[in-house]
Amino acid sequence: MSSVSAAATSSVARQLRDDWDNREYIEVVAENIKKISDFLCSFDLSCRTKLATLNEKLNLLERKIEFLEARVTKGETLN
Amino acid sequence: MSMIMDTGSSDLRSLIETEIPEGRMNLESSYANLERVAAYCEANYLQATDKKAAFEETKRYTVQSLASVAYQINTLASSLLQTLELQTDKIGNMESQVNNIAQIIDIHKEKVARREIGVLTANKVVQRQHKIITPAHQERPQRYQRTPIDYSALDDLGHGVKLTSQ
Amino acid sequence: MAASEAVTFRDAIGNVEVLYEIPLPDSQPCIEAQPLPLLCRVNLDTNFEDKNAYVTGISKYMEEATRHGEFNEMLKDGFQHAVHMYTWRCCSRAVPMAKSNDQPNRVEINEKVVEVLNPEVAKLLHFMYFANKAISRFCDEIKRLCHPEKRKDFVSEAYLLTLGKFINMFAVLDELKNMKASIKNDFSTFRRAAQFLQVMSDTQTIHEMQNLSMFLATQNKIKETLRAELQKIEGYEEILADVINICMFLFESQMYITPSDKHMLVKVFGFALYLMDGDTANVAKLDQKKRIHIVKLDKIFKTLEVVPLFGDMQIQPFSFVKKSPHYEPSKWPLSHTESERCHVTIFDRVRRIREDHTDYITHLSRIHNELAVYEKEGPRSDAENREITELALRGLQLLCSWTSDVVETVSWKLLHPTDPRTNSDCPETAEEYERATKYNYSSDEKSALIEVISMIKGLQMLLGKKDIEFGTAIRRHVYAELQDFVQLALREPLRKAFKNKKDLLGGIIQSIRDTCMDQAPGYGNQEIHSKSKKKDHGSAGDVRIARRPVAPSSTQLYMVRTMLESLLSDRSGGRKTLRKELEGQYLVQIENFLRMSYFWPALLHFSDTLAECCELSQLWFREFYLEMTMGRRIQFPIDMSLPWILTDYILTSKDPSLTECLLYQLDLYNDAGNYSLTKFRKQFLYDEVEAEVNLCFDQFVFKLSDSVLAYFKQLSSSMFLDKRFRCECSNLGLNITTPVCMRYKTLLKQRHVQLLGRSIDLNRLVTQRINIALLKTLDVAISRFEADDLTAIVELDGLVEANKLCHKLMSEHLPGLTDFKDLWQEANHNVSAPYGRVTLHVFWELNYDFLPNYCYNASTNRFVKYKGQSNQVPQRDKPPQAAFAYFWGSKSLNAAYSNIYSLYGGFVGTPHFRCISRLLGYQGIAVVLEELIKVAKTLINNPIMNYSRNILQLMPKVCKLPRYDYGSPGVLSYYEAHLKDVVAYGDLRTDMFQAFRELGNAVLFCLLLEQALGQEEVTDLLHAAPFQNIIPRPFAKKPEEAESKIKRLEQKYSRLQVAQMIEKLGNVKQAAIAREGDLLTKERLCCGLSLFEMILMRIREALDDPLWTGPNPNNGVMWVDECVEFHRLWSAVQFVFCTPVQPTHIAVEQIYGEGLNWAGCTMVALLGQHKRFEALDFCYHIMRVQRVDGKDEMVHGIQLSKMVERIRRFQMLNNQIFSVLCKHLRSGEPDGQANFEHVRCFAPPVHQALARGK
Repeated sequence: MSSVSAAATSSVARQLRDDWDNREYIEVVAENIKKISDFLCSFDLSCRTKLATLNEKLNLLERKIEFLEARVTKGETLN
Repeated sequence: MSMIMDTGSSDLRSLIETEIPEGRMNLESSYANLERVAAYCEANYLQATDKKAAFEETKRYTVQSLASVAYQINTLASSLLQTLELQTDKIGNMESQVNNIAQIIDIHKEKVARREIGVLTANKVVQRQHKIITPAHQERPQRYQRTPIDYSALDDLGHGVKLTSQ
Repeated sequence: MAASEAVTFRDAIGNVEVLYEIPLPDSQPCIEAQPLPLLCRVNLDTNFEDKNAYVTGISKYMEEATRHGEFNEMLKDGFQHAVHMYTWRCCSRAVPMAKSNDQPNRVEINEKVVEVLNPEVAKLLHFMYFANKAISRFCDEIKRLCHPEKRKDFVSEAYLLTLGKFINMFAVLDELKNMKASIKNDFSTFRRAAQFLQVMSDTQTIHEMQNLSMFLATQNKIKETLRAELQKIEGYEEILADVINICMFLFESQMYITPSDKHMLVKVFGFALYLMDGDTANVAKLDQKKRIHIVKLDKIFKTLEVVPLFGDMQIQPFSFVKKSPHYEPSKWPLSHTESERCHVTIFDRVRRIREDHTDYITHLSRIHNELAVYEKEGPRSDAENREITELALRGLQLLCSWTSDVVETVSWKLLHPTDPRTNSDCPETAEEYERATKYNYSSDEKSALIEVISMIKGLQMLLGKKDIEFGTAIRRHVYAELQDFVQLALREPLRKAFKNKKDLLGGIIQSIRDTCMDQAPGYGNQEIHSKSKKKDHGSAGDVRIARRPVAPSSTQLYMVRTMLESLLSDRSGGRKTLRKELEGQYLVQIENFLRMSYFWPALLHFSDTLAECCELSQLWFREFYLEMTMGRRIQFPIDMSLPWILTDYILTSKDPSLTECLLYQLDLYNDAGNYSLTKFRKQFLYDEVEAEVNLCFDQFVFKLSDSVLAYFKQLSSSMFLDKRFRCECSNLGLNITTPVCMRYKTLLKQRHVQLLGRSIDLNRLVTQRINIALLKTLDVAISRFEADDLTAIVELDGLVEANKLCHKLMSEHLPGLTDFKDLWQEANHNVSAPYGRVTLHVFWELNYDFLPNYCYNASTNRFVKYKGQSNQVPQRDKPPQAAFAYFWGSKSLNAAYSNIYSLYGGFVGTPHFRCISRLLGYQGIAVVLEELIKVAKTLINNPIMNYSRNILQLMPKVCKLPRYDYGSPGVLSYYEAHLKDVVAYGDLRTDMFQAFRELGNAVLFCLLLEQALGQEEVTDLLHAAPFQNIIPRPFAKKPEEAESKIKRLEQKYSRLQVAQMIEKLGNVKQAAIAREGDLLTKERLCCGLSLFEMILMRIREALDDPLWTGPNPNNGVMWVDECVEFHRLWSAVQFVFCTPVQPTHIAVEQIYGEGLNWAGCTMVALLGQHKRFEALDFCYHIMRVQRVDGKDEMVHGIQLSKMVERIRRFQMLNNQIFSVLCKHLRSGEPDGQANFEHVRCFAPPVHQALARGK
């Protein structure tokens, strides 16, 4: 293998190594983006649970107040 | 236990009115920026003579955008969670107040009911018989001593004649 | 861009890590497929675009890579055309045809037809060109490969596989074209309309149309043209044989990763064999030349008879072989005869699947714990990465086998719809699709399918959650293996190749190393070429290659694998193969590497492959069957759709083990919806999925809430049911349902179920329905009581208690339920109105049934209805009709409880009074008593007063107590004579007694009600005592010891004191409420107030009429013999009912009960004439005299001794009544004469002497 081709192969090898580095770089970035998306998913699910419990408490309160109003206002001897 | 709003981190109103919209706005703007940056990088890389430099620049942009997006998401997420926290406390508070009111109403209703049935009741006079309990201190039994019968003790009873008192 | 400070890479990663420090609690147990609010997939597959970059690779394979890329593109187009044809819905049926030629608007119609169908026909045209282009392209490729010179060369596995995929594509496209008649109809409608409009004038389009219609019309057009083209190529069967062999090798060694790959392989066998079997070369000859192995193929065809072709279209691969011209059944013993049953008996297979599933899950959780516990980041050892990669691969293979089991079972079922003969409950009129889905699955099969589907989706969720960790581990593993192999394993062969001057072999190995060697910067490549003989120093051998979490690019991997394959391929075609040049052990190394790296492409796209491995979306699509209904059905009803059949089966079969698999079946809709949007890209399909989900979801929630309600009702009723009663019943052989634990806990915890992109709070929906249902159960209980008499109140009380328990059990899972008290008040219409329905009905019953019809019996302390007398039964409203769940939960529980409560049916006694006092509460009792007093007053003032007035007139003015000397018969006859008129008075026995009985019942009711109320209050007080610091006095010998004991007890229970605790902990308002509550609990009625006494007082006010007391006594002291006062009247009445009655007649007490006596004695006592009555009563006098003289004679037909006997009993009764009354009267009224002996002081008579003497 002549030296010039060695130089050529070495430049190709260097390109190859750069390629490996770049791909590693890309994969790490991609992984982090995926982590962010996973975080968003679990954030969404956890918030939904919280909102659901909040919503439930609100409903309960509303119905309770409505019920109390009915008990207190109409046709009741308030003495 | 009176609920003190933890004013350490911003309170509910400022959260809802300023911080969250701000966070959202940041994210939206960064969303738009990133799109432009991506287009720019692509174009830049295509027509750039020095591919390496263009690529480096793209790399820098990616890192920076990744960091900024992560940070913005972080802030928005924590402020959202905090809002939810405060909201839950507020509602918990309201819930206890409503429960109190409900109890007051129940008590009132019970009183009305008792007044109504009270009309129909009369006081029960319950003679308090004391239970037979051993006397605290036993008095000593007296000795028996004999006294003769006086037959004329009851003469002045049982008839209307006024005897001249002897 | 703002020149922000140089943000280092580390910072960015740090920011992302910080994100994970935020706590995100989600208490929801995950029993649904992986919830993906945000889907993020990374795909770095370049489809050979970057092939030019790898200049070091052998150019020949580079060029093959280009063709490979091009073929992949064509496969994608092929898929689009297949989708287009599969989802084609016939529009020509909907188009109004121009009936007659002269119809005025036919031009318009045709224009419209052309306008609508034009784009569709354009697609068809495009499809035709594509088909022809693909066939020619494919044949050129085969021709190129069959070139004698090329034969000697090597064709890579991947490339052969792609050719196989191409063959499969042709088969799919052709079958779809044959199946879809609607395409041909629509096209012919279009052509007719177009010709009518002469719109296509130029010859070229006409010619095109002609071709297209020919193309569409002839069946198997694509297959035939392909076969014809191929047979022109000399030696094409060799290539096809290679394709078949590689596919067989892959199939047998299970080297496929997704179910569709597996099915594709089998389809390739069938179609390739069909293509090969021409006149030039036929299958039999090739089999003899051992180019293909019919025996093996036969076995494979047998193991997999039916495979899905596309969507819900199925195909029997062996049918291609059957259609081939030179087919001899003898060659194919196994698969010639089609088997009766599906090759996958899902029901038996499910046991094995369960075992594999549990093993895998345990292994996965161990890995998961290790990942979570040990350092988050940081390089893991190669062994760990290998284990994770193998685990991931094992997972994918398991999922692939399970999914293929499910898909194959369904596809076999679709191809073999049942018929009324085999399946009895399949009606004659069942449609085709109904017989294929609804009646085609036994319940075992359904439960097995459900279970397998749940396991697939569950495992997919577990793996899906881990795809980041798995991804990194896989990449590290692949990198390590690749670099070790390339840099270390290939060093020796390369050295040897250079030493022995084998430059071809050397060249290939060198190019392999150059393509993918990732030298660490310091590591030189030169020492390979150094000719130095000396053995290379050992240290280099074991130098650790740096590990990096990066995988080779898709092209790089393809190049390496292809080149390695070329080394191994022994197909020489004459020249010395490279294989012999390599020593054995390197061969083995290469082979192992190749086998291991086969799955790498799939593993590197882990999440995509995972999704493909669990592809169950086709279970919903039914275009093939829709097509077959020829327009009778636009879309099938939900009960024929498989996902709903499975979901409904779970809901109706109530099998506890399946409850938690419910959401997985609904997830099939998600898959179908997703597939129709992303792959089919057809909006109308998505809309149909959505429409079906809308329907199904309503039913799902409805049935779920129903079964939740029924379950908890049955549970509470069984907990409530008396244990001895249950075991007695079981002894008698009738068992009462004890609900099996239905495991609704996890299902009811679902707060965010992902369904078609929406997030549903299942808990809230079920809570809403259960709230309504509970309200209905209470309402039903009350209306059932309203439709029954007073005795039903005990069942009502039982029902209320059972519902309260049911509510308590449910509110553990459904915190959103309204409080039971509120529900009860609402059902009882007691929210704004002061008195509830129960109170009103109790009073209604009292008035119309209880007072007039019931007779009281003191010994049993019960009121009983006298059967004989035709008492007017008040008409009541109809009992409510409702499902068993709304009463006691189930049929047998209902029967049990109605038996139990029927025991309370016949009488009104203490249990009824206890229930009345509990259900009515103070307010109810107050209003009932108030009303009863009014009733009593009206009774006294109207009927009783009138009758009394009449009877007083009939009574003799004077009625003495005859002297003893007359003897008891004489006394009797005296009274008989005096009271003759009274006895003869007609209304006395009927209406007057009835009036008295009603009054007596009213008084008794008040008495007994107060007793019951007292007992309830005492129980409440005792329950509250420990929380109010009321501690029972402990036994102590010495008094001071008792003091200390009490102190200690009080100290011990101090934390129980509710009021004090709240005082200490709660805020001011709460403390006030606590105090009031405490006070109210302490101050109960029985502690110092008496109801009955006040009632007597109020009744006494009604007795103010002079009739009762008569004028002032003449002698200034009292009436003795004159019959003026009431008690005289009552003596007369008593005399009437004391006279013994002939045996045939019915005794008075049987008809009216003791209410009669109670009424009389009450009036006598209230008028204060009790003492006089006791003294001057006629019957008492008779009895006193008779007791002394002991005579027993018949007087006017009355047997004296019998009469006296009756008198004695009534006297005892009166004494009892008077004792009760006096106890109540004496204790209360300070000014009444009955209070203390009202002594009138009379001066003692003065002796005449004294009087004169004064």
